Amino acid sequence: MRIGIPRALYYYNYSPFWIRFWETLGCEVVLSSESSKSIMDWGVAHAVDGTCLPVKVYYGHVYDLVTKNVDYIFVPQLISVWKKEYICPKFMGLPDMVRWNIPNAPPILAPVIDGRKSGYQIFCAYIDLGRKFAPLYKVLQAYRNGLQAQHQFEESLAQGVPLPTLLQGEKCQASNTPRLKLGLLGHEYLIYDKMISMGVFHYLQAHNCQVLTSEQIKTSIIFQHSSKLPKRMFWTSGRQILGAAGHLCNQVDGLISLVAFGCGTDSLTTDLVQRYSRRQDIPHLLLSLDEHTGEAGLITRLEAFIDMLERRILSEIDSSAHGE
Amino acid sequence: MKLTVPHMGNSYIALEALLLEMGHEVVVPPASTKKTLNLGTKYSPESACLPLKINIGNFLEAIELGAEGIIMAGGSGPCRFGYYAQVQREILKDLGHEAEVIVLEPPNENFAQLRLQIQRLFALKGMRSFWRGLQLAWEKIQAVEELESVAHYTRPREIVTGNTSHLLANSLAQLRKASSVLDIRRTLQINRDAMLEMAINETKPLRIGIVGEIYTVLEPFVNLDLEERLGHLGVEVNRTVNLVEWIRDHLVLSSLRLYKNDHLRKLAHGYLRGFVGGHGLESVAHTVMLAQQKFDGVIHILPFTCMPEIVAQSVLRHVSADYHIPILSLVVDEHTGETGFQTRLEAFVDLIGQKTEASLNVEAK
Ligand code: SF4
Ligand code: SF4
Repeated sequence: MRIGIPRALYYYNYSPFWIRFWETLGCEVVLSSESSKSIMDWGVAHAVDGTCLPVKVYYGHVYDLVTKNVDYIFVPQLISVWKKEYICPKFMGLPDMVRWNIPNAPPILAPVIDGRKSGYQIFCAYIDLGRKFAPLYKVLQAYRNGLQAQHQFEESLAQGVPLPTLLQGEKCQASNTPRLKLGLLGHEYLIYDKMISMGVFHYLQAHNCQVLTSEQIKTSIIFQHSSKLPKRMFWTSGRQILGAAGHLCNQVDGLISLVAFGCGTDSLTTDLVQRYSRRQDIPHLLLSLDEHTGEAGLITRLEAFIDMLERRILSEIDSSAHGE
Repeated sequence: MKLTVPHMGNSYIALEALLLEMGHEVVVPPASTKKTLNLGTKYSPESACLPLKINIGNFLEAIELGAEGIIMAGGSGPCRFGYYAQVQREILKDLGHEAEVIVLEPPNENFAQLRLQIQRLFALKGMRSFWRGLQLAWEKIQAVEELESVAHYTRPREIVTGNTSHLLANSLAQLRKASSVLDIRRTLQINRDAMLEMAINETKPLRIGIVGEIYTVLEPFVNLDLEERLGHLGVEVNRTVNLVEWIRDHLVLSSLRLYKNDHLRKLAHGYLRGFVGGHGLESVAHTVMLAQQKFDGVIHILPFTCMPEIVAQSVLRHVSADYHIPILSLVVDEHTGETGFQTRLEAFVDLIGQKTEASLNVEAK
């Protein structure tokens, strides 16, 4: 049995679990190819206008799997992965959107993952799903193995291993003597999709900057900061981004937000990040990404931002020297 | 403290009554105009959805008129509305305004806070006036929506184009002034009869249903007077979204945890599995319902990048194909121009007119 998993959206968050789960069940996991121009173009052409870029790219990945002859495509309906929180309306509609917009797709496996009340529902959803393919004891084992893989993944992240290294075995050279420390905020599926983000993460690392991201921060610390908001943030990604911004703002030279064109949640959370950083006088750069964003323009803006930060540091050293 | 509320269709008529009854001074923002939009767009995040921007425009114009407190609703997600007030508060703060944003969160989000806010609101005149206010407001909103739906019926049947709209505007002004339940009911009856009397044109108009994001559907400035335009093109409109239902389902029943969306899920079955925030599920379910009721067409209207409605739009084209019902999706934002809008409406009405004629011919044969 060949199960296709699109290499997009929450692949970047939960693929260790998913892959191990399916493999323990005795299925062969087929990942879609890495994002490419043609994958993006396919998605852009087949999605309704105004769909956010990551969902368009997701369509492209599903289509890529269609051409790879899989028996099923795994498109979970991720309503919630955290108590009382949501991910985004589009995740709730994703299986239906995929089913109706990708022609000739094989059957879709779309368990309802709804952890708003408790994690027990999530457990049941995976067990029900697995039961279609294997006996109960095997499914339980698959679930346990999956969790184990996921825990390992999250622990390594917390220890600072970069996500691309963990998922794709890519080498990411972090410099020992970085010239700048930067917080990079955004959905994992933006930051680590080199096609969508045009390799911003890798660019920064290659240019001798230390890049701090939210998935490396302990959940308790994220909550500690997000709970200072006047109102509970009900999007998991929003809570992650705002919490990380609160935690990072005192330890970095500047913050960079990556935002996908058409993203509903980012339009509000990033606006708040921008306002809070302005009030605290922390340099903030907003990079909006769409299918027309040119790499050259993006790099120019990054360079300018880095230059500005370096000048700022120099002048601070200067003025404090004179101040004494 | 002088209070204000954002515009959403004619809801201000009811909200004003409620607040006045509770002893507050009320500043109703001037009806939304191009100026409101410009103000809102200038100070809101560019990629925010349109309603947030118009709200900001309303608030700024109300503050100019002396408003000191802004009443907004809250929410628990998944769509953006639940966080609107939070962002709006920061926008106003950064602009240096001191107006307080009073957010009424749903009871299951933050019951203690809700109780506190409501207590504050009826501190002036007490509980009794609160109930009386609620009663008045409920009567008014029902009357408003009844008159609006009468207008949907009479517009394509009026002899002199524009009469209905004129009468409707007058009767809404009267309703706004009405100060007792009796008064409201009398106003309703007189005006309803007057409107129906004009509808003597014996035509069989095309019937179009409107579905979509609630604010856009209800706010004529944002939907460029969609209902009126259609009416004047000779179309009888059925607006599937209304406040009376919304208040009943989402404010009352769902606070009591009694609201069930099974009927909607049943209608949308096969297209959408369930709730996707906002009115996404309603849009799909109501389109199916309209198709089953043999409507001639459906207009789906949404603000650019509206999350729940994009999900709906992504499956609606297939509802259209399966049920052979034409659907026009209208996406609005601050750049939507009147001319293009009117042209698209006319083309759509023409198209379904021809289609209906063709099918009538087939039947006749
Ligand atoms: S969170 Fe934003 S980018 Fe992600 S699916 Fe939702 S709207 Fe799209
Ligand atoms: S329903 Fe659409 S327009 Fe309204 S707040 Fe939600 S995303 Fe914005």
